[in-house]
Amino acid sequence: MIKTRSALALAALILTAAAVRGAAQETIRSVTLEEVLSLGTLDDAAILQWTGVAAGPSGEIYVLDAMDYALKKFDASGRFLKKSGHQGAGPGEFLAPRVLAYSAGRLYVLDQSRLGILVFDAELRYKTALPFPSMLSMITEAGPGRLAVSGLSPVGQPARISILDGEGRLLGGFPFLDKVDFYLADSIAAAADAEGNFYLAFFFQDRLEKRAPDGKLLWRWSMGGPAAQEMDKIGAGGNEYLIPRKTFYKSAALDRRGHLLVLCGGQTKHPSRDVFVFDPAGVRKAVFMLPEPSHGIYVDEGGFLYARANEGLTVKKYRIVYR
Amino acid sequence: MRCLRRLFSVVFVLLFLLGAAGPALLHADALGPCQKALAACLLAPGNNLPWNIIACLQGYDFCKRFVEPLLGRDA
Repeated sequence: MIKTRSALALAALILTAAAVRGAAQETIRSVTLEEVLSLGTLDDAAILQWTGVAAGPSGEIYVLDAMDYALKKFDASGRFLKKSGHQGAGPGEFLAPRVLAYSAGRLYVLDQSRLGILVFDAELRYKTALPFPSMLSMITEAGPGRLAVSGLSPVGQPARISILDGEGRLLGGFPFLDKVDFYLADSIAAAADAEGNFYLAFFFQDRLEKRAPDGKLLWRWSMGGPAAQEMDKIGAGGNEYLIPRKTFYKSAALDRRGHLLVLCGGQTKHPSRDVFVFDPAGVRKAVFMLPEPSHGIYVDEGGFLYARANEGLTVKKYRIVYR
Repeated sequence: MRCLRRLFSVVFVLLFLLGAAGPALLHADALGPCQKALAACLLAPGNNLPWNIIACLQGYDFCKRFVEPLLGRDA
């Protein structure tokens, strides 16, 4: 019995190692996008200005519409099903909805003007608001029913990722910056893989990182070259602050093959369109371009990529074709 | 209709991110729209407290994310 278990464990280990090694050794000559679905057009009012998108296990698509102060649900064919919410500060209402995450049948929304995390079920019924002591700017799934969150910190303080369960209980976390050197140095997008590793994309720094579940740095990558940050003095009188101007990496997502996809900011040839593709070891394998500029990218469990079109009136769903 | 919707969309994004930015920004012509909004936020009474500064920066962060794809340049 013990021998059988040992053999199975060894086989699993070998298979996992082979898969990771396979992904690391994979050669990608090109990446292209094939459009498979489009939600919202210039001629309808399906979407007014979306900020977040997520997909459920049956292919249903959830869209967070900031201009409509609503969460919307579409079926897998793109047919509008229902919406929930309107402008306000009451239960299930939105003031400035910005970020959406899906995990284990629940939808989690960050609202710029409300503390905590608003929770909805898969039918868009408002469930609760999970309290959190400070403002949050990032939320992503970190395994079924688990969330990773972070927010901005004052200069001089550490920056942390906190891991929560679906009820908002703190499960753990780690600092990803010992000290915030300048305002917004800790603005990140993040994605978590099945092993609990985290990929961090820094918005105002030329910096991508992979961290183990305990926060240990596994690798760090940067474009290098003439991409140093530039600071502007913002404010007047005694209230002047040095604020970074350049944006580097806007969004991070993982595909089914373990590739990390990172949407770049303003420092590449095609601002808000260039997407870098990395293997799990942090080797950049390819670059491709979104058809239109986007504020973010999302990859669903089926490996389809979602991005912005028509200046936020449209969500496009693409098949990613690696050659 | 299409042009109007596009225009409305762009104007909306700028307005809802800029918030109450206005007269306080007249000196800041060299700044981008998100920088102007941030300046207005930082100069608002009471907003020199640490967590109010963070709230202003949070608005700047989101503004940059959503407006830069519209402008195609630093915002």
